[in-house]
Amino acid sequence: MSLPARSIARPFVRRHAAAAIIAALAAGWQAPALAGAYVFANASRPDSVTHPQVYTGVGGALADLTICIDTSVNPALAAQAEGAVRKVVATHNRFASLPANTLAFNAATDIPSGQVDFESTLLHEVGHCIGLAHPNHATESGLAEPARNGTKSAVGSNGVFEQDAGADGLHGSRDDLRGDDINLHWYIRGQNNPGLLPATVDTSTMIRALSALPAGHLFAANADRGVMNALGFANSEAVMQQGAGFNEAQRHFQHDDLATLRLARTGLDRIAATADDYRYSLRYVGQLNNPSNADCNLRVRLDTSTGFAVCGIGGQVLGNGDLRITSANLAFNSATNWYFSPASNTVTTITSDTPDPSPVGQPYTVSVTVREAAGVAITGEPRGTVLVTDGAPAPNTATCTITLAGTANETGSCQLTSTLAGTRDLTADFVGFAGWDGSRGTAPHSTGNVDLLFANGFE
Amino acid sequence: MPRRSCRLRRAFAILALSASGLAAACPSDLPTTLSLTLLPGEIRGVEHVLQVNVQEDGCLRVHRPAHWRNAGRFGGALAEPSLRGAQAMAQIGLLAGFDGGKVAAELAAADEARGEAFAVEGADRYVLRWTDTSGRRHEVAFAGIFQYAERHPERDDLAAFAALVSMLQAQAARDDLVDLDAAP
Repeated sequence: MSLPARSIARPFVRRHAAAAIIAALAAGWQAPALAGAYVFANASRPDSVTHPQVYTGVGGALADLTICIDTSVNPALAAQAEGAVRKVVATHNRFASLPANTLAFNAATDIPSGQVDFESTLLHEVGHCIGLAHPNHATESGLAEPARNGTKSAVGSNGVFEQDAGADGLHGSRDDLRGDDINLHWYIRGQNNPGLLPATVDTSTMIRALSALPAGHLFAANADRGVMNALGFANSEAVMQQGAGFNEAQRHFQHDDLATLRLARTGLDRIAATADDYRYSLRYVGQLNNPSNADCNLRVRLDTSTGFAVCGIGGQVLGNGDLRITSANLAFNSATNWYFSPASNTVTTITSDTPDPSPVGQPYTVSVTVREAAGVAITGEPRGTVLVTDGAPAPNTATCTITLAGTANETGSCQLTSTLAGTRDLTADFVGFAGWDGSRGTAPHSTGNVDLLFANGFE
Repeated sequence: MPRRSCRLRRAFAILALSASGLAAACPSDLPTTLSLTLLPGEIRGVEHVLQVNVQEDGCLRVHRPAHWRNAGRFGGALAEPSLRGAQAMAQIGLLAGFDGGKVAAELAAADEARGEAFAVEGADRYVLRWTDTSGRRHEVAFAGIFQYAERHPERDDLAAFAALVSMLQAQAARDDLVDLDAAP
């Protein structure tokens, strides 16, 4: 993170602010009723999972979770946020994650020097507003740097955090010495590696208690950038890890974020692929003047009710001890030098799909390019994963994956085999990579039986 | 009345007489009688702290955090002195004996009893310090004050805390403050 030297070296900060800050930290933070890998998990309910506002306690497709921009305060500034809000909605609904390269800095981003990326901060705060807490101790623990990078926990019977980095010197890693601290971070059974994502995410693969740690591990590891680097995942950090910085893009979910979201979506039984699994989409409903919770579920406001960014969350305890969010208001400091990303910095295009039309059950080839958007100047070329689907409803959806290496003028391709007849939109979703944003391309494609295809001119 | 015992009151009384005349001499080297320290939760580093100091003579000394559009050290005189002074004194009176940890625990217990919960994720920590009319120093702190005050409009102490923070934040953001590091 690069910081303006002007603001660091000032004697007033050294003499006055620094003394005040030390005194403030020494006074300790209040102990609010939060938090965990899920918001509201704590020592008395460490296994509680927090669900979004649209959750009703039953599975299936839920109503859309809505988000809006409140223009009752600083309307001109608030209006600038719309592009970033739309992008965060798209990122959320893409519901994809990366093991590494979720972080980018300086020339590897589209963020002008000396600015803070609003979109990255918004993605983090929306995560809170749908139930995710910091995976690390964070500031609410009252711990100082770097100890606050330790894994999210509640204090044990002695009433204090026993955060020790262990032999590797890295807070938040698997060898942390934690005394009687109560782990609140869900991790992969037998792996304890936040760079991995199980094919099935539920309590058969994830656990909060420390009983399923691999041999030799002492505590749950979190997806802190230093920890991830040591595990071999470059430029990787959970979106929900606390700590923004200048010229820093963090616009893609890391596997640890997605695993936590997917676990919540298994519903109250916490078993995947059962009737109480739920799903929902995030939907932007526009710029509204002083909206109520009925107007939109997540209200985004730029004002002075925060020094940087917060989400204030109300919750209700459900029968099994889980919680459902009842209100969620996001605030962003209006004096901050935000960079409001207007649109995706990449353009994904389906350049061909042949043959079109194609027979049912026969493969066809989809070719895709991902290019830098006009006016964007990021070092290198877009690279990474593109997910291609045929648009057929589940369980008949056909998918294939393209991996782009990041070479100049690159085109990638994969084969789909559709099993339902009809004309549908193919979609190619680039999930993003480092400073490259995700983007989507679409193209129509027809699939039919042989007679129909000949009747339509197929040869 | 001993000199220290009336510092805060005198600061506002002086300002009531002549704010514009003081502006040229501000900030001064006199002691701070009222201050706000705002430690943001979601961005790291000492340089991201907002510090607002009101000095004994009504001068204002501000450190705007590095992430603000107009960051740096600024100074000037407290604006609208009589009004602001009266408001500040009133709010401080409501905060006598305020214990942020105790208040947060009370609110959490009340939520728990109703089967509810409330959290401010990424909460900023606000610390107010002042010297009272007897020369005694006070410090009160709370994290997420604006969100808690909005949720609990029945709490006069939270409202007073938020109002005093708002007043000092407004002073810190004034366009007419002088950049103390600008070239002459």
